[in-house]
Amino acid sequence: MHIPDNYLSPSSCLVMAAAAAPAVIYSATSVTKKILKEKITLIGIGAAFSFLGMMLNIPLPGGTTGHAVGGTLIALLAGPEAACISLTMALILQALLFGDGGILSIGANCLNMAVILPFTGYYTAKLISSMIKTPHGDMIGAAIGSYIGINAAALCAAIEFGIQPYLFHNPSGQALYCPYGLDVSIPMMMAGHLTLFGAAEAVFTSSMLAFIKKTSPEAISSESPKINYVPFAGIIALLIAIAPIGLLAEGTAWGEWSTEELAKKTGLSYTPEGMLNGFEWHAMIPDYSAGGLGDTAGYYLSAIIGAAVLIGLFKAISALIKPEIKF
Amino acid sequence: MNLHECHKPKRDSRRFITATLKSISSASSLFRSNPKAYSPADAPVMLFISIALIIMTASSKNLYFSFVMLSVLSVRMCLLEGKDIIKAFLTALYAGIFSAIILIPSVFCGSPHSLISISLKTFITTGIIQCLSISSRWNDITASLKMFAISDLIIMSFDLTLKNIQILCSTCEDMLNALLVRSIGKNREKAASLSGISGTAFLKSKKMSEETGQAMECRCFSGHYERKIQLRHKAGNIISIILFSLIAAIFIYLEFRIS
Repeated sequence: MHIPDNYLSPSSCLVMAAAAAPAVIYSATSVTKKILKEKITLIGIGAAFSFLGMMLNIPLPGGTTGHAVGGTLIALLAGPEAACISLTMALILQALLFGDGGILSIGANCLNMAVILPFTGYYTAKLISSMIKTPHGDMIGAAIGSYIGINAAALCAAIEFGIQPYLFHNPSGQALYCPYGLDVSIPMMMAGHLTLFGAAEAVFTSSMLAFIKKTSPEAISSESPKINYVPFAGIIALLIAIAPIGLLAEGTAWGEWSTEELAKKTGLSYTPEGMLNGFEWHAMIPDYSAGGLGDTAGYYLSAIIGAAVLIGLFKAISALIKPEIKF
Repeated sequence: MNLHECHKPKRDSRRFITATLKSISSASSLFRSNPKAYSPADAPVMLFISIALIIMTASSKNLYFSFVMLSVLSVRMCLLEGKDIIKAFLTALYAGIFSAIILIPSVFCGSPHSLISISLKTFITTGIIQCLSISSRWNDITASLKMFAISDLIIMSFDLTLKNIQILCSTCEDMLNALLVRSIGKNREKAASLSGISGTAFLKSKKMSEETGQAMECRCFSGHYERKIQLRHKAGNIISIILFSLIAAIFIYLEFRIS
């Protein structure tokens, strides 16, 4: 679901960024006002969960892959605004440091995964858990909410891909950016997300939530300032340990191909002009691979750096927030 | 009221004294022992590991080892308190940027690789030192030097220097505060007072060194430090040594197999 550079036109990227910006700004101000200072670290941990969850690629027949995002999980732990900030930071880090997702398309990726996913997932989960009056109602709500959240995000990404050839093409009718229309992009994106990736998100969210509820219930409460971070450290260590599982999935997710791959995999007779002469970003650790160290070591390094940077970043932010004194 | 009694002093910005006080306080805080300092392992273990990691980072010819060290540093930094993370990261970043600026000519001489690798190494090594200084007390670090068979004279000089810097900083702070209180109205001579403060601080340091010498004589202290720190078999020490061994193994593998 990470839209690379040059799949969307620069003007589309600008529009998406403008659409995502109010939600991100509102979330940032809301988080600094509403959330307890002590809970900011929890947002960093949520961002690390999401970052590591996105590294665990799941293969689908046909050579495509996908992954869980964990946006609804963070929203249920710290609120949808916190999830929005958390995922925005994770997506920016992925794009800048690891080249996962484009730089120009950060706005579009944030709109899909950091705004639409957590808000849709959170409110759906809340609605369903209020309707199901059983002890496991919140777990069922979390599973369904996360499933709907990731599918809503995937649908938005598919629409963003699909409208490109209608809006941007040359006089001979060749697309300048993403060459697939809505008739191709929606079924291709949704096939994976309605089945395996949606199920993976639901399982990831509900299992993590059940574990956290059992081991650190104060993390879910909005008023408890003291949180036991040991279970979270355990989950992060486990996710880092299993991160190289993502390497087992061969192939690239739909819509995330490089220019060379696009021609080879899709059999397209031409390479869109915008992709041929588009913007290129050289990430420090591209595709979570550290060259001579091997893929597995590269994956481990990326997982450690990504998780540590996100947790450290939110800890530093919590230090900058001045505690509100009520007289 | 008489005209002579009606004194309305002109406003003064006081920027000079405030800025000087701020810089002296920040310099003094660097050497002040942190009461909340928490190190996962004993100071000698941390000191040894930090020095060894710096040597390995500096001597490594392989950029991948720098990535390994970057991951180690990011994990160590994320375990610090929020304020300490900002302090350690910014100091390391400034050092990295400074070395990058110095190395800009290397790009024009056809070696852009040096700019990236040396700046990255500077960032990592400064970060390691910052993490050590934040998480350990200076007293413990000085004491742990004894375990590495370092001459008593060097340990004593190091110990006395750290303590004297703190005392002299506090003296300078007092004198600047006095100047602040005495400066009524517009005082254009504040900068000139700084030489007086420096001179007094110098005389004070001379007096302090003589007093230290006399105190050493009275207490029959010849400058010989007894080894008091004993390594304990605590989990933090063992885990730190295991992790260090792993990093050392990666260093050997990368240096002798890949490059």
